[in-house]
Amino acid sequence: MNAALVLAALGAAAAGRQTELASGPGSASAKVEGPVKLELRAYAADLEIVATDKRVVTLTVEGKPGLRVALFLSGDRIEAQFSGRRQLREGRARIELPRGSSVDLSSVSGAVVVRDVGGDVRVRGMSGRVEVSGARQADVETIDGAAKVAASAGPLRIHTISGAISIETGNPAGQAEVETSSGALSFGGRCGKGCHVDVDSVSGPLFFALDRKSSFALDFDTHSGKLTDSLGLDKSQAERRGQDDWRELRFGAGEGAIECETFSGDVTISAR
Amino acid sequence: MTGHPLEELEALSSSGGPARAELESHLEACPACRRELSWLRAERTMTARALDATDGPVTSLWAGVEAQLDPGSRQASRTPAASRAPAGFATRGPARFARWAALRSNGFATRARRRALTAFGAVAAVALLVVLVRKGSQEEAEAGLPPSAALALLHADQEYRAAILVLEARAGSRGAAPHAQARAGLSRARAAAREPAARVQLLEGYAAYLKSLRRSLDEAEE
Repeated sequence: MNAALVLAALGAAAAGRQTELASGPGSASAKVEGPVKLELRAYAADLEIVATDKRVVTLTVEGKPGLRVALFLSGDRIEAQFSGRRQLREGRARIELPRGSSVDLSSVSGAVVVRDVGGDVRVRGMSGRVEVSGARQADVETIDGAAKVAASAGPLRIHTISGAISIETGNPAGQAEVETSSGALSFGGRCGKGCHVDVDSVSGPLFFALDRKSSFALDFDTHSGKLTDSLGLDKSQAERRGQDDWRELRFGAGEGAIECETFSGDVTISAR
Repeated sequence: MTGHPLEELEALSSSGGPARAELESHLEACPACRRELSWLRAERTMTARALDATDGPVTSLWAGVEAQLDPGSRQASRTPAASRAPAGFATRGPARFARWAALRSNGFATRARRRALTAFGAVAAVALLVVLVRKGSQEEAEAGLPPSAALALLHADQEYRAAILVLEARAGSRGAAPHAQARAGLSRARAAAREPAARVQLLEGYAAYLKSLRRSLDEAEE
């Protein structure tokens, strides 16, 4: 951000208030010096956040004629207001941010799509689907909304209650922490040295489609779930104890780590 | 907009007595007010979820538990950024953060320590489970919550409790005291949890307790 914005932010923070950067009917656009942090709330509105190479933040709302849109600087964050409210209730919002920006979004039933912003992405959703790609790291929570994350450079944290989870990673050292009650997980990619995927599920089934160049140890722990393997895990270290099924298996040199803990959810490991 | 002081209406809706009765009477005759109130409650729910991500007592508790079990693991959390878990781990999931740091540095060799950490921490975290207690009915608390989400919360509550019952039966008297403490904490939290944010937090408590039970069983069988 430029000096004027920094001064405005400091002034706003000291006074505990917000500074308006831009406003307009249906759209607002503010010049910035570089990547920003954006906070946005929606109810049933769909949000689409995309990156731009321009040094500008642009927010456009469709389907809500007469709505006045404003961008505010609040501390070190940019926040949006919609006719004086912090939550966009209906319609569709498209936001362009400088590449490298971070976002903190919340939504009840609207869809949230974040593409290639390059910074940290945090989404607190409920029933709407959430799609994130090209983030530095992603932290997504939903209740029954599906969560789909792809091509995230850094760690992932995804918690759902019953929402389906899809993770596609191109990073062999990728890290993900997943928790679900009944939502299914589909994980695709390569798990090698430095990779760590930690999944807890009650009944949600877990599907791993892994590159044959993967190298990982699998820690599988379940009460009544089943493990199906068509990748060809090394079963020499399999161990079954008591009423639980607990196994430590290996593929390749076992450099990465995949931990799966379920109560009744099945785990399927296959080659992609 | 209805032209009515909705924030005041919203505050009144959380109170009791004659003011609340007057409000309910007004809402019956004002559909726009009912709708606005529903929006406001949905916003409140979302705000609660956002606040839920800030550092709280559970985070502090985890730091203490972690230090007692293994001072080295605290060092791990101060290692360079490349070894750090994402921000979400340090806020919503301190247990995860400890496990993450340990696993990154030691792999599965730390399994026993992590199990102990999780078992202690789960009970302690459940004991400190904070729920957002508000006056009013369940219907009011759920206003603005999509029906599918309400159903998912209900189903997950039943599913976690069923799984806990199975593992508790298997655990028998093992770890009875801390488990009873955790169970009592969860029961209190469940009775008070009406808001969706609190119910999600309750499910996190169930998940932690379930994990604690599994650890007890694993260690007994080892």
